[in-house]
Amino acid sequence: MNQPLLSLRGLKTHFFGDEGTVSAVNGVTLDIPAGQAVGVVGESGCGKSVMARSILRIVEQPGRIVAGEILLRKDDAEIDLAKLPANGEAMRSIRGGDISLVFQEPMTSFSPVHTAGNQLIEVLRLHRGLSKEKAYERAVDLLRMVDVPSPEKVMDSYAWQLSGGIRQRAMIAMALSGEPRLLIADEPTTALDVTTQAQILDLIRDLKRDTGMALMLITHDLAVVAGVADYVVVMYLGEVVERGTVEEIFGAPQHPYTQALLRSIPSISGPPRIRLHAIAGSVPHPFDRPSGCSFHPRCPVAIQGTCDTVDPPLRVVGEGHEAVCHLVGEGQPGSPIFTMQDLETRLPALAREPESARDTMLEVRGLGKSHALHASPLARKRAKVRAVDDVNFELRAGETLALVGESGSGKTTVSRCILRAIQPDSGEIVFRTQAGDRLDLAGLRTAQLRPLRNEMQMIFQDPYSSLNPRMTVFDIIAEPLRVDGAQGKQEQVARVLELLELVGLPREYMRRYPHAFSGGQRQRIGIARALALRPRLIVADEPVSALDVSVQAQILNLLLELQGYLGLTYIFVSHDLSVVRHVSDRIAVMYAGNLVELGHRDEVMESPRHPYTATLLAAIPKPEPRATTSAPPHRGTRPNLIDPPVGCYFESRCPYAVDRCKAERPTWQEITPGRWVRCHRYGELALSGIGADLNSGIHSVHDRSSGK
Amino acid sequence: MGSVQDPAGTTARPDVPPTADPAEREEGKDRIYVATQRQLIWWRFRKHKLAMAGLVVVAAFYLVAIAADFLAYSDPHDTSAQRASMPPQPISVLDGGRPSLFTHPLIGQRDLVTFQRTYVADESVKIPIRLFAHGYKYKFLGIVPTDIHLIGAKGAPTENSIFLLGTDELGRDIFSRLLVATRTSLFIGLAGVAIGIALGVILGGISGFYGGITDVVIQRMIEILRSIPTIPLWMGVAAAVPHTWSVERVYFSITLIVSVIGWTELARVVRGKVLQIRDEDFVMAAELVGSKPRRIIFVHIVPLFTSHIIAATTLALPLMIVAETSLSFLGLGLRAPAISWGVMLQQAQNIQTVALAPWMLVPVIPVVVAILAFNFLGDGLRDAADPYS
Repeated sequence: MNQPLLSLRGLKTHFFGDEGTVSAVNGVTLDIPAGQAVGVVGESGCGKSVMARSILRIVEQPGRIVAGEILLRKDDAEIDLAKLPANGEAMRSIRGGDISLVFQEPMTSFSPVHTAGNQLIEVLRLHRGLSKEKAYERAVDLLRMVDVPSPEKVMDSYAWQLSGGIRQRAMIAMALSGEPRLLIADEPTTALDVTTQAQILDLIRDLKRDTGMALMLITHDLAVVAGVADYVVVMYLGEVVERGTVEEIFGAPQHPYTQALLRSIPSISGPPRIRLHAIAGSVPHPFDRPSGCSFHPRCPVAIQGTCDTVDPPLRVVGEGHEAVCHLVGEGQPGSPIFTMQDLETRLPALAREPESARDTMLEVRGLGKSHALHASPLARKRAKVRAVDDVNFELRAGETLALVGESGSGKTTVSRCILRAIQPDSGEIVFRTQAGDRLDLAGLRTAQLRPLRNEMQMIFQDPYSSLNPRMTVFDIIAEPLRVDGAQGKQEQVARVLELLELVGLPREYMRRYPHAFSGGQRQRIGIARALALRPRLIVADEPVSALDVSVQAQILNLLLELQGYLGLTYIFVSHDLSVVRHVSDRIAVMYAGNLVELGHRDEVMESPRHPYTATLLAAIPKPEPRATTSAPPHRGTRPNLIDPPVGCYFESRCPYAVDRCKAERPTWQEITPGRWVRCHRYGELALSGIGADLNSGIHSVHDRSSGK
Repeated sequence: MGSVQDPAGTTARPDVPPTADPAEREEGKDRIYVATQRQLIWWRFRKHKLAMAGLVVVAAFYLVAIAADFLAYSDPHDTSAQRASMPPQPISVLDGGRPSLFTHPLIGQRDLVTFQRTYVADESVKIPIRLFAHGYKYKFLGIVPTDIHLIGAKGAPTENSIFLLGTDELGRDIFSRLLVATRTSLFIGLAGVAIGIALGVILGGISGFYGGITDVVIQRMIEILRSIPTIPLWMGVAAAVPHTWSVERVYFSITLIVSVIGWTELARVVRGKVLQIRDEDFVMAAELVGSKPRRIIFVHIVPLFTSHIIAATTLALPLMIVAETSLSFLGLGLRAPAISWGVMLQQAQNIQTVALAPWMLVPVIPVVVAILAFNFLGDGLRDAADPYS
């Protein structure tokens, strides 16, 4: 078993584009032992996916493997996949037969015009040469193996009829059909909800144990790797910077990049609302590969004159644990280069006292919103989906209220109703303006809303869609000022420069167009635009979920800093409870258009009273080696919101459901002051939240690296 | 839309740490960061060799069309039985080693066996050709009255002396007629295309932006218009316009009426684009800062698809040219005495002409070249219009 199943030796894959050569993979050496799981970690743009594609020889034009070996052990001999013709017979039988790949986006991996079953059967007939009947049986078995409920039904379904989680399971079933010895999973859970992610990770771990196949798990999220992998490989700019066992990487990370990645994960056990350790900047474009150690411009401990000129050596730390860094074993590292100056010293004029927390800023009562479905024009009545149903909460000035839930839970709809980007069907949204007037936003017309626009603004999820590609950064940030019309050009320029400074972007960026920026930088521009009119309320709709973990920490720090400094009130929409815990004061949990639980952050996280909250909490991946996510038993499906059930909406998935839950809808009730729950059984259940027992793991990493 | 993806190898995605000194970066990179959309499109378009060639050819065609009368030497309407169906006759550039432009007069004879008219050059006589000679009267650019032409015969009527591409059955010079036809064929479709685009953008934009009932009404209207077959409509319109109108005016009115149908395709594209851009977060961001619909449409939505409109125009023009040519060929579009590529080809309809005077098929060449050039140009523009894809 000592012989690795697959070894990469100095693999280099380059892309030969019009603008020059991109060294996407630049000399990767790693081993995948048989039956073991190797996690490959790094930010986006570090060449992880290209490496996976190189192994299967499916690199897209104009990419090419230019050097190195890909050695696969097969029948006691070693085959160099890099030397095989990419479309030859040998390579085809290895693809799917010996090595399979699962992609990030299961939707695009299936053809929309064939049923999932047909596609599975086709693969089985092609690779295993089974008869039609045998292939059908085997396909059902495979689906059962990946825990698909009612596999026969899924066989007859098209990809778009399946939920994201089931689709990914079916994708994994297809990858398993050739009984591969190595499964490469490329960000298999990134597009999925937390609860689904936990289930898929459990599935992958179980499959590895039961089938004995090796696994390569590619992800940007170290927490995902922790529970599954035996070994971890950390990649940066197409190079391996550190590799070792999962215990060593998480317990004694050597490379500053590994340490920084680990520290940027918002801890679910440390103190909330503190600055996260972000990695400065972002991954440079491979054209701008820095000299010396490619990580040195972002490295907090880089040594001037060494790290920026000399290529770092490979240092063996322990058995199988290697790091490529000048500093490993060199004693005391230098001092951090990247420290953000305090905003107070840079922009003293902008400080604003937080508003008195006793004042209610916003009161939402009985909010409801339905979306009409695109029905056939001949249908008598158009079907409607109830996106939001009877939502009630208060927002106090100066606090952060988090809206949490899976995708489709209605949290975005609620946030957009509050800003009146969409018109609610029913209910009141009472907003207390700066002047002290109380206005019901739900009843105002567009023209009446305009004067209120400088009191509340929004930060968007997708940093690509939220900036007009035709406008310069100046035009984008000055847009609100221009529409407002109160300031002249000179004042606008001054204000934009101030805002750029506020969000930590250099003033030179003012003339540039959005295409010049990375996701994190674009998000900063979006924040600057939201702040331009000096709003009191900011609605942030999943502001970090499109970003890498490392960049996410930067943006979260910025949001917290701005809140304290400008006295802002936040509504923070997110699906990620570890992020939410980090930024919020109170948490409101949504399920299927309803609020199911509302309370103070610590109360909700530590002693949830609604089973759905407990489910969400259990699904958070824990950044500890070999941690098993106490994933919820997945039963049932989400309720059909076109024709909602009579009883509790969560009944179909609730492990504690009783007959009453099916027959009667629970009411929204205040159980202790400030604590609201929508559940019949809140008093009887003893649900577990995140407890003190989790304070090990990641915490030790923090201590170790800060004591270095 | 994922419009802005950044696969390795496309437009530089410069993730530079915000703390890095911008002066450290190279000039070239900085140029891309501050490049406007238009510059990005142009840089990408320049790489498209075929499209660049198309651009050059199209530009040349329009230059020729503008200067058609100046480049022509014979009055395109001047007929004479004496020089009917003459084959192309070259101009000599060297006279015994000395550079000199001249031509020999052609003597027409009737072959008494076949009754075919044949022409023999009289080598003993030289007719010198002058540059910037006086010829028939015209208005340059339709404004300046003049009679100066690029070339003309000296000492004999130009109409009787130079036949670069031969003559037709009525003895009219094909080269001169071709130039004038180029002008007609290239410009007559422009008005129709312009109207079609205006209608398409406005109605498609309204349909996509407001949605609801407006959208349904406009979309049904488009479907009804698209169900009308074009050729019978052209025939009907051609028959319906007053006989007293000049041929150009008749054709102009037909193209206008056809453009009333031609906008539907573009309207659908524009509607799709508007629907897509409307869902972008930056449009909502603009709404949330209180922008009015007019600002949203003209500052945020329209600029994002102007490049597509330009590409659509470039691809609509060759369609108009083909339509003119084929309809005139069928006798439904322009008719003599108007001169266009289609009208010229109509004269070459019978087998006798093709067999005995194949040079009368010459207008096929500019039709093919112009349409290919327009299509290459349009394809290149369309590819370049989305520099992020």
